[in-house]
Amino acid sequence: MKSTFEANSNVDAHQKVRQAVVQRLLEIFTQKRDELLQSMPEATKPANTPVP
Amino acid sequence: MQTCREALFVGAVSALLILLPSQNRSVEARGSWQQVNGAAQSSDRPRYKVAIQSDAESHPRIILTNLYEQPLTACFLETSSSSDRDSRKSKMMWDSHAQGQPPIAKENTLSLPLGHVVGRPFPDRVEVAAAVWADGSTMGGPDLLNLILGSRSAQKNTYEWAISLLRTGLQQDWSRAMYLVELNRKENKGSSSTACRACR
Repeated sequence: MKSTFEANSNVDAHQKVRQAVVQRLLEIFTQKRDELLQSMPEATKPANTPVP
Repeated sequence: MQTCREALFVGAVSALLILLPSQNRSVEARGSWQQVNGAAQSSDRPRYKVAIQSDAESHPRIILTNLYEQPLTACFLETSSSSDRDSRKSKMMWDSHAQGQPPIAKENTLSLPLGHVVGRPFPDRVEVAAAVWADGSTMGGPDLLNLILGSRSAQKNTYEWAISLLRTGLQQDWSRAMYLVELNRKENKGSSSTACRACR
């Protein structure tokens, strides 16, 4: 995430570009988080996982 | 009795390997269902096949084949040598999430280099001590499973932190500099290298 922001110095010039970058990171991290949750046995999952 | 048979089998295989050094060789084991979501189950259907493969030209490798319907996402392997009097075991963990590799689908294989401690006999036995599949089912002892799952839990927490940060940034329309300030603050708090993978 840090490297993405460091590499894209132009994101401050356009709000839409910045939001698109953040939105893409959100999608990637949410997918990875969900994959991790799915691959853990039920007993280790938190009882009330917040819905994104 | 079972252990004696296994020892005899491994001994016989080792003797063959010595007699036939130039032939391809493999020592194979198959795993049965032992534990699913903490409950012991018995079944004759093996969930994996594991072997040591080596030939004269390449370094020996561990070949693990997933036989279960669901993709294999992590495993703990133990290797040992039948000629080691101390019966020492080497352990190796593989986790698709931690290593950024795809899980092993049914009938697909994972190939890992076989580690060897200099001065000790070369391992000729490999066992899967613990495993985790994509549906959350597991096999193996709780101590090893906890190592795999603890690492994943730390990663999950980091992703949740990153998701929360990005949502806050979106709502408050943070600049690039604001994101970098928050990320540097997280780094300076001394997060572990594994847990902070998403931050980098």
